[in-house]
Amino acid sequence: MNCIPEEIAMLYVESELAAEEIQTVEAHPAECSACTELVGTLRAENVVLTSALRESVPNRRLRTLAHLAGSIAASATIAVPAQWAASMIQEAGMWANHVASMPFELAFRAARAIAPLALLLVVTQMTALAMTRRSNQQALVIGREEVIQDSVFATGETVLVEGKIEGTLFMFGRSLEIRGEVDGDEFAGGQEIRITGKVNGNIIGGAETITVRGLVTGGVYAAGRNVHVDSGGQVQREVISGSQTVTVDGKIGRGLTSGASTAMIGGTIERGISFSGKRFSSGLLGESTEASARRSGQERLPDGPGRGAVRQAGHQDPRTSAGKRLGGDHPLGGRGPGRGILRRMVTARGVSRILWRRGAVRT
Amino acid sequence: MILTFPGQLDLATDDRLGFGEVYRLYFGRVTGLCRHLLRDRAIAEDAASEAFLRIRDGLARYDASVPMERWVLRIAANHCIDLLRRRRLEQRWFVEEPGVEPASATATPLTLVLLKEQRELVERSLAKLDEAYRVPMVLRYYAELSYDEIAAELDLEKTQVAGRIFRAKQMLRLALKETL
Repeated sequence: MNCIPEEIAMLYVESELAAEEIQTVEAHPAECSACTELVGTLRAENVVLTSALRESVPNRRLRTLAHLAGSIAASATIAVPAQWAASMIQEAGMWANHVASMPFELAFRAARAIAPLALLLVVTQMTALAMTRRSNQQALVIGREEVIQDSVFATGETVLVEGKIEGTLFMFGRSLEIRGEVDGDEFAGGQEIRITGKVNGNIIGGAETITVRGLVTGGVYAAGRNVHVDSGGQVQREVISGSQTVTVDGKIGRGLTSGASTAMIGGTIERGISFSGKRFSSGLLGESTEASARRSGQERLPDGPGRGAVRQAGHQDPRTSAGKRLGGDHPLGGRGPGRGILRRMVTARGVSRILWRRGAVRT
Repeated sequence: MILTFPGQLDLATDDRLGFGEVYRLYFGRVTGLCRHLLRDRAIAEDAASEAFLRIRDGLARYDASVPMERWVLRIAANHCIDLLRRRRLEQRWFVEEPGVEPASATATPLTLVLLKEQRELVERSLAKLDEAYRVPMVLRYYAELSYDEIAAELDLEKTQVAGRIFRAKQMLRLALKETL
């Protein structure tokens, strides 16, 4: 019996042969060493090809570690001065009251004398942050029944807060999630941060992905690859994000300021959007409103019964005209024609900037 | 339900799963696919962003009987192929018959590749192939699409896909034989 042609062997190895052809191949004598080795070789080649293509994409683990290190550094950079500044403001206020009540000369001497003490205070405030420390190399869980009446410094591979923290929360690790409640600000650094519970304060974080699916009564100040306010998520104040992608399918009570590569808005932003990046997509203003300027110069801003107005400036290749009406009953400035403004500019470098201001009218 | 394995994604039953989750899970795979197909990092990142716009638009129509990863990668592949066509690179689908290096019954230059540096060499050699051969290879060995799916994406017959993958492997062997 003739040996199996290489092309047939390849299809056999890849499970792409028809049933009758498979029978023909398998009817070939199993003791034919040439064909057996050919099939083995082709299988080995497939393994090499798959691994070569997969590995050529930047190594996920290395990237993750780099992100983690960067996130922790960024968060620490924010958290430590913030804590220091908060304490100093209180201290400074107290001392200012005292100093203001003294004659100038006396105040000057007092200030000079106080300076070393103030410096000492700063150092001690920075190094001796009094708070509850919780750590676990694997998974750290603050249970559902637990209430911690203190600020918490939590670290672990995974940190899950199901209970209540009545103070500021500092959390660092790979995967961080708040399912419970935090009565204070949250400073976080990790690969992934999820808020599915409630944070009665601000979130200041650096992570590969930050996802808000719960309630944040303050603002979100985030640096990372992805920032998502998912459906059901609510940030009552502003979101300021420096990230590759920001998506908003939930609600932001104030404005969104984003220096992202891509912004996709499917939810509600009560006030303004300030976006600088490559690509912007929004369902806010109609069923499908997209501004995709870079290279393609394409955008789709559908006509419809909307009540807002669009003004554009500096557009290189406009597909929409200034003042074009947008479809949908959009939540931004939709009180009547001309009450809202979406201004879009495309610079010579192809960077689009989109500004939306409620109630402002520009022509 | 916390979803950690892409194959377990079930949009129909998990209302917590949003677009953000899909983006997080598949960003790397989609960007990698775009990079392999388009061979330009910046264009690939743009293409990945565009693909995710399409994915987001299509999430409501997602058929849970299809694995999520396959569905996502097909959308991305489809977009990249559109881009290639738009750039009129489809003219280069019809190229001269290349030189061949058949698989021997024992080791081939491809199977001798063991070290990381050598695998990178494979990737570079693959990147040098003409689109007509590179794209089916990437769709097969990176996106892991079936021959039928590749044929549908490229408007080809299944036999043509098989022929191109077969010849692409021969070209790779030849290139590696000269290099290794």
